[in-house]
Order: sequence, then structure tokens, then C-alpha cells
Amino acid sequence: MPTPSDLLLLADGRLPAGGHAHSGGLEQAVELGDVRDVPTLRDFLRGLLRSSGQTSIAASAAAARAWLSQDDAALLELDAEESARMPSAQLRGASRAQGRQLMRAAEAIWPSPAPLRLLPALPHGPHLSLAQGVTAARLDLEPVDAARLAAYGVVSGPATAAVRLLGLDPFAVHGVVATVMGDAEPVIAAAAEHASSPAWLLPGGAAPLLEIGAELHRTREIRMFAS
Amino acid sequence: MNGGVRIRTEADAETGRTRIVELSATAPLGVKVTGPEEVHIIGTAAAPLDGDVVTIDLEVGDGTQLTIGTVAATMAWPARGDVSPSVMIVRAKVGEGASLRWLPEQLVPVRGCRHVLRSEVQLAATASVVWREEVILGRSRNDEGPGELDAELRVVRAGVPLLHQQLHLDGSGGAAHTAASLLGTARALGSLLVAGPGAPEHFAQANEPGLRGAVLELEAGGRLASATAASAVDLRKWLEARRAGMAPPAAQPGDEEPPATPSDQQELLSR
Repeated sequence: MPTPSDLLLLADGRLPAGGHAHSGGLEQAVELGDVRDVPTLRDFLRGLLRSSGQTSIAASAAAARAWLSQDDAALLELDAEESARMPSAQLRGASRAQGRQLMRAAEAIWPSPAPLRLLPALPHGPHLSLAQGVTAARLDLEPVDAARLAAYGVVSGPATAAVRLLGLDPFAVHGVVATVMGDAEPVIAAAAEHASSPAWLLPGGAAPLLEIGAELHRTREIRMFAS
Repeated sequence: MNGGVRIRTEADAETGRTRIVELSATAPLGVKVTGPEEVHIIGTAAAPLDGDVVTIDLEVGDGTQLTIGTVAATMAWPARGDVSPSVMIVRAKVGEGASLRWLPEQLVPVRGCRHVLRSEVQLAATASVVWREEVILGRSRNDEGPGELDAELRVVRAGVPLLHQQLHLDGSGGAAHTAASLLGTARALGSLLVAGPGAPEHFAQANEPGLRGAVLELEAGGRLASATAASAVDLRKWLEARRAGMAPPAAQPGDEEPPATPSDQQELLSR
């Protein structure tokens, strides 16, 4: 039986899994003047839900399903398909770093007698969405929970970064998080519904400015976030 | 209208040179051979229109080369009613040691259109590809926005996905694609994929008024130059500069040109 509070623990930004070091591309968007205030932040987050975020949410649900079915081949395929949808090496690196850290944190917090089968095959760590899906599944959570966990990360990560970077009103920003999470519900439901679909059908549109921005961010000298 | 183009190349058994062994076109598309290894696709009717399904099938045989261009931008015109979208399917198969350059003109999803573009590229382990895609976000006249577009490019090498890009424009004229994470205020976006043996290292970034771009390194091999721009011209200029830097020096038919004439040589010497 799953412990309902496990999902809250996993989604908490204070989970020591390194999420606080990443802004989900927001720092660069702020630097470029693209995100300036609460409305542009809201659009930025909605854009993520139509692009890379949608991929992550679907991949997380599918990874949970694959883990429950003990289908390692499907997990590796999901990982490769997510990479094919993430042309920026910077974004892939950030995703894999966070995935690795989440697996490590989860292993320490919820020691499992079963070794994490996924890790040996992926020396640079799994994508964050895969780590989220596998971790949720290990804790007996459902694919829909894994999708919601990924969605919350996609939305809340850049939002909390925006509070720090732009000094936005935290109440207004959390209002945006609540609104955009409402927008995410159909994406989460679709991810859960299609969790068993072949990996190559993973959805998610390109986010050109996010990808280009991630590369511009790499070469910046002064920055608060790793990505 | 359901039509399309089919092109297939094979290596000549004796010389090893590329031979175009199959070349067919049905309306609304036509073809014109513009070089020993080069074909241009021509729109012969106002297409694609709603309900049209147009298929382009390319098969580049082992050890051969093929370059495809189009003579004009592809305009996806407004739908005439509540009917199915216009669909263009591009399927390319590139054999061992073979090379395909897909360099069409821009796609313009005109406000009110419903257009679907599906491109699927299958590369053999030692195949090379240069694949350019540019989308102009609506006609510049009246600053009208783009129509509805659902575009997908999937490139697979020997079973491993290299690149899977999707672009969705909802055509509403609303803010769906203008988010700072997606396209912002850009009027054009484009990408140039270069993959295959011998592609030189090339990195570039641009962050200027009217153009943002970066060369992205794909995990499974190959590079993607990606850019958003204020105009189709700026976009093309940047992507072409990347092509010059990224693409492997191809064994162009021009390499076998007869030696320069004396007057040419003189000109070279006098420089």
C-alpha cells in the first residue's frame, strides 16, 4: 500500500535532491528580459507544459508503468526518446544530474532491498522524469502520481526561482503555480492514460527559446542556478 | 488531391556514381533534375489545401548522394471549411555511406490553415544527412499570425532515435506559442540538422536583436543548429553560415569539374 504522504515528500522543494540548484531555464529567460513579471512567468510556465514539460510528465508516468511491469527495456527506450526530444546538451545534463540526485536521495530516504536496476545501464544517470517515475513506482504510487510529481517540478521549479531572481511577490507567484497546475491536469491525465504506449509516441513540442537559452546560459559567468 | 514525389538513387555498378533510378511525380507536385545528384520539387498547383495528402518518398541508395530543393516556399493555405487538414508526409531512407541534403524553401502556415507535416528520416549506421526546416509564422502582410500547424520531424539512426522535434501552433492568434520558453516574438524559426561521419566540430551562438540561435549537440550523434528570428532572411543567413561550418565537405559533382581554363588561372594569380 502506498503511503499518501510519500508523494508530498517527493514533491517538496526541500527534498535534498538538488532541485533547488536548477531554475528550469528561467534564469536565462530573466537574463534575456523575456520573463519580467508575473504574466510573462505564467506564459513561460504554460509554454513548458506544451513542450518539454509535457514530455517529462508523460515520460514520468510511462517510467512508473514500466517499472511496475519490470520492463527495463522500456525504461531505456524512454530515456533515449526523451534525449531525442531534448537537443540541448545543457538541458540533458541538468535533467540527468537531477535524476541521479533524486535516485540517490530516494535510496537513502527509502532504503530498498532491490537494487536500482536502471542505474548501471545509464552511467550519466537517468533523466529526471525517469527517476521520478521509478521512485514513485517503488513507493507503490501510481503512474498518475508520477505524472503529477513531474508536472509539479516543471511548474514550481522555475516559479520559485522567479521569486528569487525577480523578487516577485511570492503570493502572486504561488497563485500562478496553482493556476498553471490546474492547466496541467489534462496533461497529467493524458500521461497516465498513455503510460503504456510505445516510448516513441512520447508527446512534447520543441521549445526553441528554452533550448537556445540553455546554451547561452552555459557560457555566462555569473549565475545563480546551474540551469 | 493525393499525390507526391518518389525519388530513388543507386550507385552505378561500374563507376559507383549516383544514378537517379526512379523519379516520379503526381500533382500537385512536379520534379526537375537540376544536377547529377540534385532534384528540385515544384508545386504545380495551389497546394497543399485542406484534405490534400502529399507524400514525398526519398530513397538514397548505399554510397549515393542526393540533394533536394524546392523552387518556392510551401504555402499552407486556409482551410475552406470544417474538413480534414492538409497533410504532407516526407519519408527518407538513407543507405550506408549515402548522403542526403534536404534543403527546401520555407513552410508558411498561412493564417486559417490546418496543416500537418510529418517527416521521418531513417539513417543507416554510416549515412549522412543535412536536413533544414524553416517555418515562417504567417505572412508578413498585416502582421498576421500563423495558422494551425502540427509538424513533426523524427530522425532515427540504425534504430536509435537521434532527434524527435514537434512544433504545434494552434492558429488561434492567441499567446499559445509566444511564451518566452517557446517562440517569443519571433516571426520565423528554423533548424538545420547535420549528422553523419566526418562532420566537423562547429559551435556557434547568437543573441542579437532579431536573432537567437545555438548549435546543439545531440546525445546520439549529430548537431542541430536551432534559431528563432525576426525575419526569414535573417534566419536563412544564420542557418546557411552554420551549414558551411557544420556540414562535412561533400564529394560534390563540382569536384570533378574540368581543370580551370588559362584565363581562370590568370585571374587566380592576379589576386
